[in-house]
Amino acid sequence: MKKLIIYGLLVFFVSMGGTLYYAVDMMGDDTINITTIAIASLILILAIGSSLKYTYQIKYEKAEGELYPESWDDIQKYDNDIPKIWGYSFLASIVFVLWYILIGYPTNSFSQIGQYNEEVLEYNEKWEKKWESIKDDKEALNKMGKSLFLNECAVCHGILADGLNGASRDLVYWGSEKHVEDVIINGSSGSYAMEMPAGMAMGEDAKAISAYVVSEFFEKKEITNEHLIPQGKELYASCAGCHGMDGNGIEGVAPSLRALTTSTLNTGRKGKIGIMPAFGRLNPIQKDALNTYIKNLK
Amino acid sequence: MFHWLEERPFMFAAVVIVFTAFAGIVELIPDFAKSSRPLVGTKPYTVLQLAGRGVYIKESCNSCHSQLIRPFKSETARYGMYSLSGEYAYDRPFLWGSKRTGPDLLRVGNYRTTDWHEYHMWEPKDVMPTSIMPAYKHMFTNLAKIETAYAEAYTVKKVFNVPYDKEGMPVLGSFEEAKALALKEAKEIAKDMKSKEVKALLEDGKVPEIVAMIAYLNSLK
Amino acid sequence: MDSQSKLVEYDYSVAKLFTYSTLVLGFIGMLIGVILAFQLAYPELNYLIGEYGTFGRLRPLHTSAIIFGFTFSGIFASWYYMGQRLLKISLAEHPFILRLAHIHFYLYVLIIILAVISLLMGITTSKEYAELEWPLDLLVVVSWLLWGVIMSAMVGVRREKSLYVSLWYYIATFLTVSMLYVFNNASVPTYFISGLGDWYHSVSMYSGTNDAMIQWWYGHNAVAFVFTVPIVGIIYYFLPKESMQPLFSYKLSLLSFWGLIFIYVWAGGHHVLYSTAPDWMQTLGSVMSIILIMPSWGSAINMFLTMKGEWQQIQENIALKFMLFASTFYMLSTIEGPLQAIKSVNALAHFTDWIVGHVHDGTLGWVAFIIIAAIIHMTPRMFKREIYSRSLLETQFWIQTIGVVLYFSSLWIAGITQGMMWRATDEYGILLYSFIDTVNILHPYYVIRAIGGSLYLIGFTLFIYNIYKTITCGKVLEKEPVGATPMQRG
Repeated sequence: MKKLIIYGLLVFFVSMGGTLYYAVDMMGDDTINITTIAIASLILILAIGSSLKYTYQIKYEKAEGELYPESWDDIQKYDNDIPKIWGYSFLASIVFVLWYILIGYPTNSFSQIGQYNEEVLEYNEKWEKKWESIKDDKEALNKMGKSLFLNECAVCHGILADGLNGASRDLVYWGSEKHVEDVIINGSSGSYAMEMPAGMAMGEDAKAISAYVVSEFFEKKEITNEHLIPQGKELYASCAGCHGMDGNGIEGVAPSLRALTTSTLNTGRKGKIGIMPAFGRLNPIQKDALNTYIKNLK
Repeated sequence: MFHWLEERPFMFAAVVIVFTAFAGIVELIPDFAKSSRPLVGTKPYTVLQLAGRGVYIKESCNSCHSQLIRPFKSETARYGMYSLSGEYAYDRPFLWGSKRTGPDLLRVGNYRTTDWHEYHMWEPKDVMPTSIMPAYKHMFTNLAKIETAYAEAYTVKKVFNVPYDKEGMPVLGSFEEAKALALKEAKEIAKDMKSKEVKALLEDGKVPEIVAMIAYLNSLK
Repeated sequence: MDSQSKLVEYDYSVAKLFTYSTLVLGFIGMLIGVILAFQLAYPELNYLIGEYGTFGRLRPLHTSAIIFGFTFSGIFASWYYMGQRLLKISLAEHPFILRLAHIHFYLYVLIIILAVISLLMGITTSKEYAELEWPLDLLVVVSWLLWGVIMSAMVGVRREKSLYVSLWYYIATFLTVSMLYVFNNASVPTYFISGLGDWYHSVSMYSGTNDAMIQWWYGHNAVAFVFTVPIVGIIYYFLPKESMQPLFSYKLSLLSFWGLIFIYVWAGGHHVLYSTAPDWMQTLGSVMSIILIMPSWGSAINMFLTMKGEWQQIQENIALKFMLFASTFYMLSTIEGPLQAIKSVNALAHFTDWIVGHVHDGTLGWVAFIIIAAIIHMTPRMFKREIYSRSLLETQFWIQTIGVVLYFSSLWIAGITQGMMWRATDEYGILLYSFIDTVNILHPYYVIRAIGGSLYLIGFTLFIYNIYKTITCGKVLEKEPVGATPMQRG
């Protein structure tokens, strides 16, 4: 009997302990998580507790009662009453359900879509304030961007954003001086109907434009060809036709260089393993956050 | 009373039937008509898509992937808009699944593309290094059952009045027409694919399973 | 021993045949299960036999082999054994019924073989536990009705006036499964309408939400009337027989039976919670599951109470150990199920491995253990030989018990963790984990589960060996043993 109690407790603590090992961090104030943990404990307590109770009865009590006269293949049966606890529990569950079906449920006018709408409403209210304050806080945007990236983008680009050995675009390289230079020389396509042709500039010129674009629009401080920036600024004029003098791009023609990520998220892009879909479901602040995060990747 | 029944097996059986049939009648019948009404804008599958659905069923994709988005913020954020009954009106059988070993696919057409599927079906680990999904290389050589798919579409049209050939709805026509149409649709999809074998098969007028499968997956929106 | 029962010499030929198929199909079904478990942990194992070995192809084979193969074989074997004894007739007295019973067995084997082939080829309707296409469905119906005819005939010629509890459960099983199977598998063969395509292909009678509702009305009750009802019927016979104790309470068995069959069918709706099925239907399914707890527990409690004061017997008798441990797991899974059906819990639990764990609590811990116990009891009586090795049975019991506990606790943890991860958001309200994160974290649990399953399979293999040795070289029994099944030490 003692052994059984120990086994029972062991199963309980291993199962619940293992569950809580992960769950504590995720529980939050989510009622569904809390209910689940409570019910999970209840399942184990009731199942293990009842089994132990009846095992105890097997060990310390004796079955007796009045036998029915009939028997089947020598099996006889007692005319014992039903166990009281069982009977009352059964009755209670029936009463509860009758109440629930006839009164509880109809008067509550529950609908799962209604519940969903409430959940979304509550969510929106809660985060609107947070987003409001985050707008100009680069640090916070970066953090939020990282979180978004891990959830939405890491699937293809990898958690290090290195593009998983060429399976998708290496985002650390993307937006670097070297990459911009490469685009200027080799052109770019995939997002817009009009392609950016190859050979817009070559050699030293391409390096100069790249240095300028990266320092000015990508807001990066450390540039390898810093001395070329003034020259790049002049040469950029040839790019401004499409990308705009201020680097904001032209809707439907060329992407904004200031928010290259945002623009890719809006249009989607033909990539290496497939078309990257447009992420229209992200809201502007989320896109902004991703833009900040990817710009600052090292 | 019960003892009386126990001596009369026939009556016993009759009472058991009443007891067990009761629930089905109360739960299933009242909303039957309502639940089979299609949502405005929902269209039946084309023959090629149906053939792809056949491949999906053949490989029991529904063992691991659900097609049911429940109305929770955490699900709509991950998979898109929650499911509506009318969206499933032309699903015979339904493919909700009961286990998500892999993600939900109800709206996979919104965020995955032909070439992504091609790459992924060939070797899921190339796309997702820790994926536990098996590769389906045989889909690139096995042929899709266009004729059976046509038979299915024809049957649901005749028996259940599924609105093929109606205005704004997919065209079914005769088998020859449907076959040509499916091939055309398949070639359109194959434009975004890289596999040379697939293209060669299509040139021969044969549709490999992978193309039908992708047609089906792309239609899930 | 009652003098009357000596008058008839029972004919166990069909019960023996079904015992063989129980062992063979149980082994196959569990082996496939173990392969599937390892595939989830090590996906390279998907390519063992080309396209025929992927998880998707094998999964319906595993469920079908266990439900329609192993469990039904066990149910039929028990039926052809205890049916005769409880009705006090011998099939030997009724050659025509005996002939039908043999046909039943061979038809059943034919269906199983065809089912294995067609499922491996990917010929499936995709409906869980109803995957077979219409030609096989028809065969299933014929063989099922044949069993019904045999059962009715046996009941019709019985010598006992009233029916024992076990028979109630068997009658309910037959009737309800017939109803469920026919309605859920209703489909239109496409070839006959269009004259084109595969002749065996069909399309479901119902579409979308209706199809789902009917499928889970079926699916839930296939579990109920295959994994619960007949198995309860089996324990109601074998536990009193093995322990020689009278059944503790007739009234409790009465309330449990009628309560169970009335409530069970209602609860099907809890498989489609938060789906597009009507709200009221979901709620009904959910709350009816709560009432279901007590009628389910009633039978287990009755078994426990029947054993009151028999601690000594349980210590010594392995068949009883199997049955009582099974009753414990039966109680666990019949409270786990209804509580998982509460909407707020289901929101997290549905689609996770917690559900898979729940099913296996029932199948490994309850169904298979009861069938094993029944075979332990039946074999010496059918073959007139002692069980070959007691210690081997003891070893098997512990190996399998550890297997079940590992299986149960790993998927318990895995399921709840996965459910929470799907819901988790960070401080910005953004989902915290991408789907692949939740797959990665499950790896160690999948490994533990696969080990648990393997232990169970090893235990079952020992059992097959033990029974084989019993049949071929167990010590011969002079007369039929009464009460505890005789076993050879060693």
